[in-house]
Amino acid sequence: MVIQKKACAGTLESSDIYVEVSPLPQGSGIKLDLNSVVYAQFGKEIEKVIMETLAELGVEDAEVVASDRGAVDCTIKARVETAVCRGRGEE
Amino acid sequence: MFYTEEIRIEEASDLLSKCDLSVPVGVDYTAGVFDENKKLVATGSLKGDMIQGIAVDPDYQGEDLTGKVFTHLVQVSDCSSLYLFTKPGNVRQFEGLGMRHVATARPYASLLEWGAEGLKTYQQQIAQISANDDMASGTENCMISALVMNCNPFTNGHRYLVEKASRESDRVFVFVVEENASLFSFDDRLEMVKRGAADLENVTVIPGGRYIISNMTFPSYFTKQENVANAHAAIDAEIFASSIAPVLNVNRRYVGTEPFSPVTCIYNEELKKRLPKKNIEVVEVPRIEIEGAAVSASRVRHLVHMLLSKDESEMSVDEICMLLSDLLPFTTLEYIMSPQMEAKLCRALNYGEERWK
Repeated sequence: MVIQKKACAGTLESSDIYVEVSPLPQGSGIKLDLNSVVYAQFGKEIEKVIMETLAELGVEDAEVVASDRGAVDCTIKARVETAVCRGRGEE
Repeated sequence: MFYTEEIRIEEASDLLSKCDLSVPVGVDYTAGVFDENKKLVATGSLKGDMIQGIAVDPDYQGEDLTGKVFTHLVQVSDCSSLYLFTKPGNVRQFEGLGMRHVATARPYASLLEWGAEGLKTYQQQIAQISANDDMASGTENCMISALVMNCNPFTNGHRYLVEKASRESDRVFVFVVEENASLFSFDDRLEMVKRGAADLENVTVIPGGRYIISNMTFPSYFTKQENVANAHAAIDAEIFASSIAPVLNVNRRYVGTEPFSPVTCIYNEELKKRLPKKNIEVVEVPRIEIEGAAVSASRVRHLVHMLLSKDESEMSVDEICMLLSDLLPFTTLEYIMSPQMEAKLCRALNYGEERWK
């Protein structure tokens, strides 16, 4: 799946995560920039969930910026999915 | 239970005053968060790429309404970066929302950045410009100096300062303030400085970007009016010392005195107070005088004005030209006397064309 335009999902409220995806040229891969209030404890885990979700959706090239405020895995997954759908022009 | 929508800034004035804040001026967008009884409980505004006037009703604190307001503003704004000034004590809270800390100028304020990495990008740009200008760059025991100038236009006073720095340093970086509020556009000012310093081999001219003089509107409601100039200067000094000087290994900054401008005076005071703490020496150079009058760009602009308006009440056109050639280096004179520049200046000053003759 190709990201066509910049799109976001989620909020910056507590227990949520704000995810923004932007297009990158083919072959660029995923450029992920994550910041989280619980980065020290769960940073790697959150990155893993984001990367796996993108892989499931078949996203190969995208810039992803995520600001996490302690979201659980299913929230992270849902936010990434929504951002990607919006980014390819679907609501 | 809570919902967010656009409101007029006046609607937020009661809430802002309840939080001991005055109403920000000239904002482009204001968000309001309401509870189920349609009571306004939180607000925040956008002015260009600055976030201003964030306030949460004290009775509703702990509900994470700042996060709600902030999310809304981020989604509404189409800027790639957003900036926020806050009290140094609130930095942690906004870092928690994903903002990055740019600089803190105690006791006044801290600056935070959201979104695209503006500061990091600028640091990479200046490192690149420095590397392209193939001089042996920053090694130990080198004197590397910086100057920050508006150069509206580049005068013999600027030339004198740059020349002195060039003579006394191994390498010099001249930052040209990047905004278009001056008579001469940024591109023209940059070009004049480049031409005026072209013969000085150890001088590199750099666009000032967004951070060298943060022309970010410092919210006047934020701190006591008499402190605004200090707070502004202090932030600029801290950004320079912590994020710009280290990239280029700058260890000295030259500043010119400005006998008639209290703002510049405050500016220099803040630099002298803050830069030495980060091992950057500040050298204040008195401005040069020609025939008893300080060489100043504002004097030059006044003369240009007289020339373009053919106002000979104070002096004749010949006298004006003579004086200009005393005040300006040849490179600047040549540059501003071109027909293209005449047309630009006439537009800027709202005159008809063709007045240079």
